[in-house]
Amino acid sequence: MVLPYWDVFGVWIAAAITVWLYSFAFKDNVLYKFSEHLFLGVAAGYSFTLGLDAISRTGIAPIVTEGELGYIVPIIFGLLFFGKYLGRYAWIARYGSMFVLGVGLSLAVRTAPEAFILKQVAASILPLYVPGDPVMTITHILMVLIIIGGLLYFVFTFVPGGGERRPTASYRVYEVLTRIGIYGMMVGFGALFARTVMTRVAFFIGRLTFLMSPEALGATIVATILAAIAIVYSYTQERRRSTAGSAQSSGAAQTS
Amino acid sequence: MSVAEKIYNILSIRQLLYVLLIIMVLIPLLHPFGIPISISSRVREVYKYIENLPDNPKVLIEIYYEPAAATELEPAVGAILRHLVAKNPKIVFVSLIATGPIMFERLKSYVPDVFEKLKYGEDYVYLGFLTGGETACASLARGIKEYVVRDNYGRPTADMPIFKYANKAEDFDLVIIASSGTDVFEWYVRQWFTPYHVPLLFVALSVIAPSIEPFVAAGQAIGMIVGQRGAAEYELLIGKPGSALAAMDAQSFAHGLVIAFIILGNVFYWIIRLQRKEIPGR
Amino acid sequence: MSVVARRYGPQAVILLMMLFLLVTYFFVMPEEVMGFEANVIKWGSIAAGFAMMVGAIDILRYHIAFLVRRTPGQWLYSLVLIVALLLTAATGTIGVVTGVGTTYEPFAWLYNNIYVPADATIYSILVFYIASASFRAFRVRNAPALLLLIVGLIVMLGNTSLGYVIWPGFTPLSVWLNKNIVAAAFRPIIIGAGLGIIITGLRTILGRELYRRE
Repeated sequence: MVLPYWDVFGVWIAAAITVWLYSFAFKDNVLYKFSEHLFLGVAAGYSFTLGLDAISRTGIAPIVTEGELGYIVPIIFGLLFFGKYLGRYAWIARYGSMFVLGVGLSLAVRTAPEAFILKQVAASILPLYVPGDPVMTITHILMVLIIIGGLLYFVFTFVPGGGERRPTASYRVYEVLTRIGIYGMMVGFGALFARTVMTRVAFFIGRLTFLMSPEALGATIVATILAAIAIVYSYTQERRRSTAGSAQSSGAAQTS
Repeated sequence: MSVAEKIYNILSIRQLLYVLLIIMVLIPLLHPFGIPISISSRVREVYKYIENLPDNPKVLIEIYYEPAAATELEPAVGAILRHLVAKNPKIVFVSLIATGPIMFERLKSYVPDVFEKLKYGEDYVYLGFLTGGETACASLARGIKEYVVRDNYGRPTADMPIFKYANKAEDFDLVIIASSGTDVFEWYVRQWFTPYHVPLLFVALSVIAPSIEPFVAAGQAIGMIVGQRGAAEYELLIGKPGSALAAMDAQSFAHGLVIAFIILGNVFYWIIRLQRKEIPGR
Repeated sequence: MSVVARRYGPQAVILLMMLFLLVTYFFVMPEEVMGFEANVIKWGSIAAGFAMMVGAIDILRYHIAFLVRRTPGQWLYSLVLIVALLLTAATGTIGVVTGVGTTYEPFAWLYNNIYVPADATIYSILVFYIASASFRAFRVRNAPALLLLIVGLIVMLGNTSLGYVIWPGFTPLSVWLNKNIVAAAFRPIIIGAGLGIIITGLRTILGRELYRRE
């Protein structure tokens, strides 16, 4: 596949950045730091542009094309964010952030009771006996116990009965339920760990597939050699610093 | 130092573990083995739901992932689009994350056969990145063309034919959320499902799937496609193998290696501990 | 006056927004009020875009300080960052002003060849640490850890074709675990999050959440 000049250069940069960022896993080095800062700069510039683009299409365009002057209100509140650079008057920025926070928080607060509490509690009310289906019966019993145990463990802060020193019957029940809740959470975390492995391996497969592609293979090899040199240089610099450091401290010990 | 400790010390060298991982992922990529996978009931349920959608369904697709997550989510979204396109859908694409526009352009080149069958402005539109997170999500539900005056390419939305059929939340038959973060699922549950009862389909990264399982279990989503495995199964179901299926061998080898590491690490730990030796610090 | 402007003014803004949006959700209101409510929500989303620009400017200021002070071992990298930021922002702004948006070619070249591979690489680098932690750190010392390991192994084998070859039952077992037990395990967290959101909202309305001291 023949790529135009700029695209070839782009593929080489992409492959080099990928290899140099991976080199951090072996040793922090000059090429890793260069790639990291290059990425951060482009990411920050990208974020700036996307913010501007969204404001232009949803905020400025209605004013310009449809004459909807009400959109000046969010533009003003948004511009107040820049007040943080005004030193003594930095408090002006609070108006902008409080406006945005107020709208966002109320949207969450007004639907959270139904979405996060009522629906979830309703879904937790399960039949503890399913005729003819022992698997679902055990499943439902386990689910109810885990939900109650997990809620007891996290949400409620009082400990019923006399506590650990003088356990009463209610404390024993509380202990059993919270233990079930903890074991239930361990199941959840086990699944989370397994899923994490899949996700990170998938990300890695994507990168390796790119690096092994015909357009990028040459760049991958060159970048790997340069990364190896940078890693070796990093190790020698570190050894030199530690030798110089130990020579200084033994010299100081001798004079004292 | 016992034999067990010597082997443990050698295997504890980080760089050796990294090189082993690279080799185990490279081998199946260079030489695929074609190990078969099964199709889970979860993916079959999603397939059946989309199969039973009415003709000309109105669908909102949220592209909410970064370039890293494209390996897991792009194949799933691509497979669903290939399945949907047979029903002559009206699709509104939107992104509440800044990397959305990049990912949408990549999606177009991943499934060009889908977009060749759809006409821009009539059958599909891409609204671009919208700021505000949940606030933008709520604004979309009230009326898309009133909120987003220009699409991602600067074209006016007022006269686009697609918005005659798909403008407010109540007009939509399905919302598909492809995301690498948990927050956007919660926004759509709160701002689209709770007030308007629009069906939601989650296409999630493997790592975030456990945290959103309660929503699926409570019926707040019709189903979930999880990670690269879910994407591979969907590709099998629609009969169009893609990059997710191709990556399954590499996933198997890498997972096998991680499992071996966990077991070996614990075996050596307990052998050394039983020999009453200290674990060498690294 | 200055305390009113610095403290009570912003609190009044957030209180007004919250009360208005809560009342319009829970009570039936005239159409004009609901139309205004829809506009307020749109305005909140538009104003949030400025926060993204402020974030980028903050990064720029931070690294300009390193450059000006010629901080050893850092200033050259900060120069790289500043040049990359300004170049990307400039090409992006040209794209926005000329109406082509994010598809402006020089801007697209920058994000496709620098942002995309770097972002993907930084997220994927964790796979190395997972691999080394699996051998060096994952220790089964008690019953909960053993349960975590067993479930982790089942789900890992259920996720891959390797599991299918060993025993086809891993996949349905993994699906059962995820749909039922994992959902039950994470449900208290969702309920707790819901309670937290409501409490934060109430505290904000009552003015207890923000600015305890000036």
